[in-house]
Amino acid sequence: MAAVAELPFLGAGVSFRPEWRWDVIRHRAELGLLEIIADDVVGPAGQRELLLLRDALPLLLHGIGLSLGSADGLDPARVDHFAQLVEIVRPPWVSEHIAFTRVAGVDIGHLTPLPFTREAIDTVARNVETLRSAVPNVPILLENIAYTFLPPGQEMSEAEFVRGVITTCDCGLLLDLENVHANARNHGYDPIEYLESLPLERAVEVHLAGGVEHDGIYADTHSRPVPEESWTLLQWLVTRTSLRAVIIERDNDLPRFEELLTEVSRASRMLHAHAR
Amino acid sequence: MPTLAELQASLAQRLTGDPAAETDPTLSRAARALQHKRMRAVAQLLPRTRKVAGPEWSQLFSQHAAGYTPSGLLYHVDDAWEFGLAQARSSNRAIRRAARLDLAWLNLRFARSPNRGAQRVRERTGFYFSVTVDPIVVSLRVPGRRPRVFASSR
Repeated sequence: MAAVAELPFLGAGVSFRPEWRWDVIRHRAELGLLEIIADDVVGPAGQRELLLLRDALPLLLHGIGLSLGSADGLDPARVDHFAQLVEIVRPPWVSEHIAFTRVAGVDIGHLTPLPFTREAIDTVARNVETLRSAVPNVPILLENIAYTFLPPGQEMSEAEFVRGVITTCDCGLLLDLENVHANARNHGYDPIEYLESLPLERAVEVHLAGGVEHDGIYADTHSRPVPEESWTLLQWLVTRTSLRAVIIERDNDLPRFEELLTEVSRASRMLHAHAR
Repeated sequence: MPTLAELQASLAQRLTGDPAAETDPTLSRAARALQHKRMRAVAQLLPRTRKVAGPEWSQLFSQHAAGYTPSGLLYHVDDAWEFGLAQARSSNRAIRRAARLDLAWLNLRFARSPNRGAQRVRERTGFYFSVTVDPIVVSLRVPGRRPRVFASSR
């Protein structure tokens, strides 16, 4: 993977929602970039929209359903779909999650945690190689997920596992700070200690979002403004890394776009204050 | 220790099955959350059925969700389609008619293959015309024009 500092500095932006189509175009000067969920772009109409957006501002492609942790490998149809979109968008990098969403023909429909084992690291590495051969020369970032349960048979800590995946796969790190905040809160660990254990020299991008507490569990619902805890983590991170982009994610209870822009502006100021 | 493949197959089955039948409380909670997420997405795709079903909606959806695992890039559309088909045969006339109208709109936007897989549901392109009865619904899609559904209120 190329050195992080060689990747373009894009600033702060949002994860695209079709409801915000025209807001995004209208406010493009206030957005550094837009992140597109690859799984949401289906068919000719989706591809036409992608071309329209590509002409307006820099785009990143983010996958949620490639299932890089599947023991039975990647679905060739999904890899082809992802590669087609890369060809259209030509993003500076692409990203997916350290998780599985599908196995033995069953789609779970949600990012599901992998056991923190050597076998799981090797599985992700094998699948990343398959993806890399479909999208050659495009850096791949992998993202930490939020989890409310863990499969049995852990051999290492979460931080050791994420470090193992990132270095074995030779990928960049997409740090979802809301997931760090949620996991630290639900599983009782110190988020800064966790971050210090990660290969931060490979951190390229950050995701921020807001969740809700329900039945004693903090859920990463992407339905609320970014909590102060996550902003604090971003402030800590920007002074120690060469981040190239921050994305504000909102999938449910969508606010007026202007409200989202205040969060984009805050992230942008933090990023630019420490840009390297 | 099970292999990763065995572990994942077991987890996938437990997370997509009936949450009430799951004995591990953390997995049961995750399965419930997953089912709730599916229900919210399907409600947006079948708004008339959701409205007409009222308080029955949750129970109807839970019965469907425990027995059906959607697939594909358009996972929630596949889910809505299958649930809509079941409700289109409901003994409750109001639910049956609402589901048929919702399905008419889904049919204008998407085409669904009988085969499972990433491309099970695709965006519909090209000309499409259909007529159904009870209620009488005429659906028309002409490329380059806004799709239309004409429905009888009787």
